Amino acid sequence: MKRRQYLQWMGSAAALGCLNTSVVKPALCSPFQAPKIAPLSRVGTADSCIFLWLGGGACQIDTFDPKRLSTGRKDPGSAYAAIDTAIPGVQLCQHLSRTAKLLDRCAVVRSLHHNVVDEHAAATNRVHTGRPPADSTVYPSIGSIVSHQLGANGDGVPAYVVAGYPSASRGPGFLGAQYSYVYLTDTELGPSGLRKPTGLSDARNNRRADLAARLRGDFARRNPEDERIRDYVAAAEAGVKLTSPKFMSVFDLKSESDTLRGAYGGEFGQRCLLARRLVESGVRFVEVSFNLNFINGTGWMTHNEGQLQQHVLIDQLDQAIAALLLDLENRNRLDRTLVVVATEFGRPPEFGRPPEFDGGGGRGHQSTAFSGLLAGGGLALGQAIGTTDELGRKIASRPVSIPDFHATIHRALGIDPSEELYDGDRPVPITDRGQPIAELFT
Amino acid sequence: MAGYDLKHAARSIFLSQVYQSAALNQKEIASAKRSKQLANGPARRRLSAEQLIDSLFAMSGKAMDLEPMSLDPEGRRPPEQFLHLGFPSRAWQLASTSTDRDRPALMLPALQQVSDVMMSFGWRDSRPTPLSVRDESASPLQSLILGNGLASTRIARLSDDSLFTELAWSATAPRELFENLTLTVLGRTPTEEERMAYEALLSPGFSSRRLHRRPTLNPVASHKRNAVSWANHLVPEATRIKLLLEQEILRGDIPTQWLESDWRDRMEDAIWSLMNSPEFLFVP
Repeated sequence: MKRRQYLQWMGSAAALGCLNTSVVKPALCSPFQAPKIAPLSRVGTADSCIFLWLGGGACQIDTFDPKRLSTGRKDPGSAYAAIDTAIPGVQLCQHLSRTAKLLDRCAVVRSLHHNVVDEHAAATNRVHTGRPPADSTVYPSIGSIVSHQLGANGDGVPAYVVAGYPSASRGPGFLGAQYSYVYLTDTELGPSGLRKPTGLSDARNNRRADLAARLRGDFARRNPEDERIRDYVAAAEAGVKLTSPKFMSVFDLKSESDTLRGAYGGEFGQRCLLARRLVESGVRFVEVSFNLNFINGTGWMTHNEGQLQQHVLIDQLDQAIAALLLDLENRNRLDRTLVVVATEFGRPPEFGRPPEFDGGGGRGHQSTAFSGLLAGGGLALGQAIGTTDELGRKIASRPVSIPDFHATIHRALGIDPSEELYDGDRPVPITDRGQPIAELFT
Repeated sequence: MAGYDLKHAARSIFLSQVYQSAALNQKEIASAKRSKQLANGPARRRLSAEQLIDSLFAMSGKAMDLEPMSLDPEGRRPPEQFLHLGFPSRAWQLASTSTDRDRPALMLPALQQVSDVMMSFGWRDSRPTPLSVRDESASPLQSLILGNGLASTRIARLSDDSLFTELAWSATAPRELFENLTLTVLGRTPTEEERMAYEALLSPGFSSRRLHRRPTLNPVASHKRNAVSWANHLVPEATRIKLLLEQEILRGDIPTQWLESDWRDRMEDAIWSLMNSPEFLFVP
């Protein structure tokens, strides 16, 4: 805040009597306070969220916002033809044909934007936290905020699971380690920390558990008055519950039919199937990462060769989204599960630029306009939000900021996006003045 | 400084009434009289994430032996000129392992196992400014991540570079072994019930546990350096190398061949249980 603004605020605050802090909390008049969210007629019915992450920056005009088909490397445009979808007048790229048929269960958001473009990690952080990094505070990820606001939706399950590598962007920031995630990098291996050590027999695991329980109990009995010890012992016992067969069986994808597993497709699809099982077990927020660089070398970072194999990625994404939406619907869970597809930024319509990265025909970075997808969650679906210009370079109408996108997710989950969290004494609204996309709540 | 005797100073402190008085918990301190709040005894505290990690490695005698923190950006420099944050030998030297790219070829599995424990105990891999107050709240994941990860694969593992292997080898009786073990891990002598339980665990096969002549402690050759760099991490071979390394890390340090395997397993379980007791975390 500039000094002049501050003085003006002080003046107006004094005029309103807000400086009498013993009567009125100063936060009520603070210019940092997020504006109140306008009342919306619809309330989201979601109790959980599956957040599909296309790490690397998925190209909007090759996926959810197709434009004129390029005729060759010198001609800017979509790399693939566009096809009609279940939403009249809204098209997707041809490799999203299964999702196209189910698009009436979705809302395509085509006008996402931010201003971080050069660095993947910084943009990833922006889309996960909804804020630029600050010198003095570490902002929590959206998954950690949901975990903090709602907790788990069942006993003996964690609130927040990441199928992907650990990262600060996915972390709890100032909310603290208890709102962090459980992660797994391989659906077969199960989550880190919860799975039993490799190569240890059941007999040994039981022996260890018995010995540990005895020592823990003795120590707790010797120190009955110490709250921190009591908390730690209680937490350790809750941890034992997390490794109970009840929750660990969620990771056993083999218990699903071969037909269903086949419908979900490759490793990313299997992660999506796991995500469905996790939210059914009571996990609130599951982030599923799709940047397995062994599929096309680069994942969604489609510089150079990555671009040539991009359709393989899109096809896997398509298969997984379609299988997930149908599976949730068949299990009567789609209205209660918000499915989000997000990425750190989009890509420009040109090929081969900038030449130092993309001389081989790939695409560069673009954060002025890119796409995301929302599905299920009891929203008013079957619409495309926002439009972009002729080649998807700039937003033509209805921009949706990252805070707006987050506010929409929170709202769908019944969280007030303007509510304040506390970093020590400092109030930090859940979103940085984000407004839920009103069209989805009418 | 002539005539300065550090040991004398330390002895004076350790023998002082204040140092020797019983530890208090926060509640007792809060409810004590004002005059007593000042010096009524040491306040019990939980080990910080860094203290926990350093204590675990110091206790086992093992070197951290983690990957260099960050990749050689181009894969062209000789090791001594690498641009990275070095090989950490103490917990405070760790930094984030994240590249925010989710690529298996960029993972650092040995480092990750340590930083997972540290993060669950309140260390942050992202720190724009140092935090003077840590989040010390208890979470169900703390004991799980420690117990199922690092404590199993490395600290309790009786490998050739473990001080516990030496301890196990040189003991003359299960009773003596367990007493030394409890002193090493928890800094106290065992209770009678503990003695009974652990002697029952360690006695069978004790006399026939040694398979060869006395071992020497061998530093285990590090294999955490490999040919994967930023420049080549997109080739499929890079992913394969890292996935193999991950499996190796998950299997843990190679167990010593100097001790009979069934007895060795029981000894490892005993060590593991002691270091996973909350008693290890709270000092004094």
